[in-house]
This record gives sequence, structure tokens and C-alpha cells, in this order.
Amino acid sequence: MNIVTQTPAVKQKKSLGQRLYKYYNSQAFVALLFLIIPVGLLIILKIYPIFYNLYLSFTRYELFEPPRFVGLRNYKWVFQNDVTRQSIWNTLLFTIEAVPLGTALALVVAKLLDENFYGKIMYRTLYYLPVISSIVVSAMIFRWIFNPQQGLLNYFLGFIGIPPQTWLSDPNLALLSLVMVTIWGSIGGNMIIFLAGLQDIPKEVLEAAKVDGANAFQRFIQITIPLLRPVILFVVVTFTISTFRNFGLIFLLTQGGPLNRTNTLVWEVYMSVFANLRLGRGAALSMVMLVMVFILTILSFRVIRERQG
Amino acid sequence: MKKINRRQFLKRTAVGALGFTTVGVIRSPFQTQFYSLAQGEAVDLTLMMVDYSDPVKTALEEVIIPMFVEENPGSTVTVNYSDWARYNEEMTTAFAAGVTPDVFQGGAVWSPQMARRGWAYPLTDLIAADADWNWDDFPPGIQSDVTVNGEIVGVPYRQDLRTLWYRKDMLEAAGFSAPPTNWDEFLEVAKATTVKNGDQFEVEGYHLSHVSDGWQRDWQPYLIWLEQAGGQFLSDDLTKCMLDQEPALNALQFLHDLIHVHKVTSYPGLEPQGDLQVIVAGDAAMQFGNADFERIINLYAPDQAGLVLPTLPLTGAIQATHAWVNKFFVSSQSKNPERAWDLLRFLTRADVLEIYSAANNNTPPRQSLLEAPYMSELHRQVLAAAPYAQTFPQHPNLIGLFRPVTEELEKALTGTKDPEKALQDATKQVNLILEDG
Repeated sequence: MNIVTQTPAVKQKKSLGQRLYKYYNSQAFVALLFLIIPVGLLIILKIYPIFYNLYLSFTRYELFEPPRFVGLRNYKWVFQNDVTRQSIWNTLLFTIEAVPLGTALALVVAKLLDENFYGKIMYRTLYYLPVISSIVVSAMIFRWIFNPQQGLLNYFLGFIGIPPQTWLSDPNLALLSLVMVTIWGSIGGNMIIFLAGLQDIPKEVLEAAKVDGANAFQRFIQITIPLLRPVILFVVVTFTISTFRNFGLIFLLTQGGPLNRTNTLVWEVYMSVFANLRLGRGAALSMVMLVMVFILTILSFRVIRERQG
Repeated sequence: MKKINRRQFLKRTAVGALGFTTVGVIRSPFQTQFYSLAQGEAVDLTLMMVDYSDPVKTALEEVIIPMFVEENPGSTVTVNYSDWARYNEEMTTAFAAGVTPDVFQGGAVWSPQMARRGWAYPLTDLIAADADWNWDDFPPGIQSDVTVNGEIVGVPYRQDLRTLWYRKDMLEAAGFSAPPTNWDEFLEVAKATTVKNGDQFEVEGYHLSHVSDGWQRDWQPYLIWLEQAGGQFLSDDLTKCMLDQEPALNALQFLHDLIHVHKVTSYPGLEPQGDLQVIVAGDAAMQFGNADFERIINLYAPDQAGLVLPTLPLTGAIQATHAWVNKFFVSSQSKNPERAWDLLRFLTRADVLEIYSAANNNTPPRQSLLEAPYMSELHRQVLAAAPYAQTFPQHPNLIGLFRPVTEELEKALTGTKDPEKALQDATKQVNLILEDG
């Protein structure tokens, strides 16, 4: 009798090269490759700077000497200093004035441009133009428009008997002037987002409402706006963040003045860092700004979600 | 050719992108090698200009830099341009990133700041070893402006002397045959030349400042009034703010009254018309300014020549004005500081400085250039203010100290705060910063 013995198959150990080649051909490697770049960039450009900024906010740092730990001194300065407190208030005021008004106007313009009429494309293009204009060019044009002596705005106001105003140097008008320019510059971008949202609303729903006797205004309030809530939320959040970050206009038009009335948090960060070279204070202000944006975003989510609910 | 599927294509693309990113972020060793090889030989230098106009650009690119290259065969100079509005942050970030130009221009308050931060290459030994270049040609006051703790940290290229300019036509129409010499006469002339339509100014008797001039707009003219009142910003030992003293208050009260009592200037003032300063545009009868008024008139408003004229600084408690001394620095981060000094030395050599100064109508800091052919009669009248000029105290954080002062000045000038209280508050805030170090 022949006995056939079977030796168990010995699992051949693969070389490092073979294992690497196998991994190279696996789906996990593809996934890793596609994740490593965005995640790496996210860490290098966003997460690390936030944590480094947090660290700096507890230090005194003037670039030419190593950072020195000062505990909460920078935060104490932020909340005890009149100028920084005013900058927090100005930032909130700027956002409260610009965001609701700018969002509402963009929605109204989008609704009007969603209708069918001759020249619709041209109007959409015209409204979108400010978005693609350079902020420097826009600011220069508005500086002329707001010029107290030769400005277009005062010229037109003169026709209805309103005396010339010093738009950028009157403490009561300067922030309002910036709000006007911000809204002008943002309507086009927000309008496009709203237009996309409006075109997603099923026509049947609007037609059913029409059959039920709802007029255009009622359809807009009762159907369009509720269905647009996610889009409105998106616009409000992104617009709030961009308003908080609005530096260019302040730099080019008012430089924080008059009487600090346009001195927002982002301008104060700039002045702390570049005029005073106090990077720790600038970092503390940035953290305060981050928290404020976070709170406002959460609030926006809550308000709009609750209404939706 | 072997076909690849979509997954393989994407994978290879991703591997390639990762490779390129890695190569991109790793510092190239070749650059360092290039610089070290270049020591003592031909070298590529970088120059940052901020104080320039179109004629300066032309002079630099067509005359000055080619001259340098000719004298230093094989060397090249890359010129970058900036503007004052963003210059401070541009240079700050350049130093933070370690990518500074070899030679760069700086403003009037930069010497102590650069010295404290260690960003200016010390020049004392290089200057001492270079007798031909003639450091003694710079007046002692200007030399001391760039000497910090006994070390020369920069070389002046311009003295921005500001004095009172007036419109001869407006003064004559108001019955004055000569410009004012003191504060009382000034007030009299300002009252007589102011033209208003209701509440609106058509002509300001005196133009103080305007919004588009940036956040230091009130501080700069106030400084001149302060010096004429016999006051000073900081104590001599730089430890205390002196704005709560009587001369400072006299100066601010005088300005406040010009706006709110005598109403001879609007606040904020009328805006310039394009490149034309308010006085050149005919919107003001008197304004402080430098020789740039003459350059603008020659370039854009030749019909105004002979109508807008400079005069000696006014006398308050004393006859005084302020000079902003601008300078070139060699970066402490330059990989070739001695070659950078060669460039700086060349740029501030009398014959080259004359070309630059003539192109920008600058008042030169070298005494030997004061009789240069380009110095017009008008320019010499501006220069006559030099003996009365004061410069900034040498505190390393002047810009930081200016900020609370500008804010309080604005409150006083708008009439929202009593001038005395504003100056007391400014002094308190400046002293806090001084104590903070």
C-alpha cells in the first residue's frame, strides 16, 4: 500500500517589493493616494495654522524674538481695550446690516431674473459683473462715487434736494457706505446660488398652489421660501463668513476710520500684527473672530432648521 | 502602446502629483550653492523701491541700473516696486519668511525699528572703510537719524522737508502781499481766503488733511504744529509721552479752533483732484507740503506754476517744521551683504543720487547736491526750511505709538472730545505702550 503523504502547502513569504507591488495595485492604495493630498493640504494650510494661532494667542511674539508665554494676557487685552471692543461691535453691526439685507436683495433679484422676459441673460450678466470685478477696482470706483465734492452719489442726491454727504468720513455714514458696497459686490454671487435653488423647485408644486388660488406673493412666501431654506442657509453662512473677513474694502476705503467706526475685527488684527507687530494680540483677536463666526453659523443653522421643522 | 484603465490613469496621476508636491516643498539645494559660489564674483542683487514715480522708474531702468552693471560686470540687479500703503506689511512678511531684497528703501521711522529687530545690516565699518564715498557729505542731523546706539543702520536718500505752501493769487486777491510768518498772521490770511457756499467749503483757507491720506493723515500735520508750539512727542529719554504738556495742547487747540471756531478748514478736508494736491487744484489757499508740489505742477498743472509757492516755516513759540528722512537699508538676511553695500553705496553716491533725486524732484540729503542743476529756485526755497527741521525720536515702536495718538486727535478734531482730554487720553495710552516695552 502506497501511502501518499501530503505536506501542507507552505505559505510562501513574499518579499517587501512584492508586498509593496500588491499594495500598489490595491484599492486601499488608490484611496490613500487620493486622500493624502487633500488631507495633507488641509493639515498644513488649515488645521496646523489654527492650532499654531491658538498657541501664539497665549504668547507675546514680535517676529524678531521667540514667542514668550504670557497666559491669558492677550485675551484680557482684547476684552478690556476700548478699541478692540469697538471693533467687535463694529463687526457684528456690519454683519447684521449687510447679511440680511444683502441676502434678501439677492433673493428678490434672483426671483425676478427667474421669470421669462426679454433680455433675461443680459440682466443676469450685469448683476453678476461685480463678482468678477477686482476689489481694488471696485473700491477705487466707489471712492469716486462717494467723493463729497465730485461724487456721483452726491450729484444725484442733489436733484432731490439732499445736501452733499461725506460718505466715507462721516462717523454715522461710513459703515453704511461699506455695507452698500459689500451688498453691491455680493448680490451677483448670491443671486446665482438662489437661481440654482429656484430652478430646483418642482413646478408642479407652484402650479398646484396657483390652482388653489394662491397669488404670486403668497406662492413666493408660502412655497418658494420654505423650499429654498437649505439654499438660504448656505448663502447666509457663507455671506456671514465673507463679511467677517471683509478686509479689502476697509483697507482701501476707510482704514478703520472715522473715529474707529469701520474698525472691524479683521482690521484690528491687521493693525495689531503689521502696525504694532504684536502677533500674539493679533492671534487672540483671530481666535475671538473664529469663535464668533462659529456661534453665528450655529445660530443660523438653528434658526433656519427650526423654522423648517 | 499598452492601454491603461481609468483607475490606473488616476492612480498614476495621483502618484505624479504627490511626487511633484514633495519635490516642490523640499528646499532646493541648488539655490544655496549658487549663492555661495557667487561670493566675491558676479551676483544677482535685488532692490526694493517704494519711493518712486514714473520718471524714477525710467531713470532706474535706463540709466542707474545699467551704470551699476557696467561698473560691476556680470552682476545683475532685479528691481521690485511697492507702495507705501502696503510696504510695511510687505517687508515684515518678507523678513518673517526670510526672502528679503538685498537693498530696500525705508521710511522716516524705520531706523530704530530695523535696528531693534536686527533686520538692518550694520554699515559703520563699511562706511568707515570707504572714504571716497564721503559720509561727511551728509549733514550731522541726517547722519544721526540713521545712527542707532552708535551704529549706522541705513543711508538717507531723501529729506522730505515740509513747509508752508501758499497760493499767491488767492493771498493777493485777499489783500496780502506776503505769506504769513507766524500763527496770528496765518489765522488772518486763512480767514480772508476761505470761500464758502453755505456750509460747504469751496476754498479752504488752510487744508489740514483728507480721508484718502490714510490713518496718519492728522498726525503728520499736527506734528508740525506741535513742533512750532515748542512741544515734542516723547521725552528725551524716550520713556514718557509729552502730549499732555502745554505746547501740545496749544497746537491742538489752535487746529481745533481753525475747524470749529474760525471755520477756515473743513474736517475732514476736501479731497485732492486725482494727482493734484488740494492747493494745486485751487481748493485751498495754504497747505503744508514738500517739493513734490513743484513736481506735480510741472507734470500735470503747468498753468499753476508761479501761483503755488513755498515759504519758511511758521513761528509759534518757535520757528519749526518736520523733516521725514527716508533711507536705504541693506537687509541683514542678504546672502551677499558686502555686494549689497556696493549697490547701496552706488545708489547713494553723489552723481547717482542726483539722477534719482532729479527724477523725483527729491530734496537730497547730500550737501554737495544742494547746488545741483536740477534744484530749481522753488526747490531751494523749500530747502531754506532745513535749519528749522526736526526729526523723529528714535523709538523702535513709533508706528505703534502713533496709533492711539491719531485716534485721539481725530476725536478732538471732529469735536467729539475736548482737545485737552483727548491729549491726556493719548498720553495715557502711549505711556502704557512705552511701559509695556
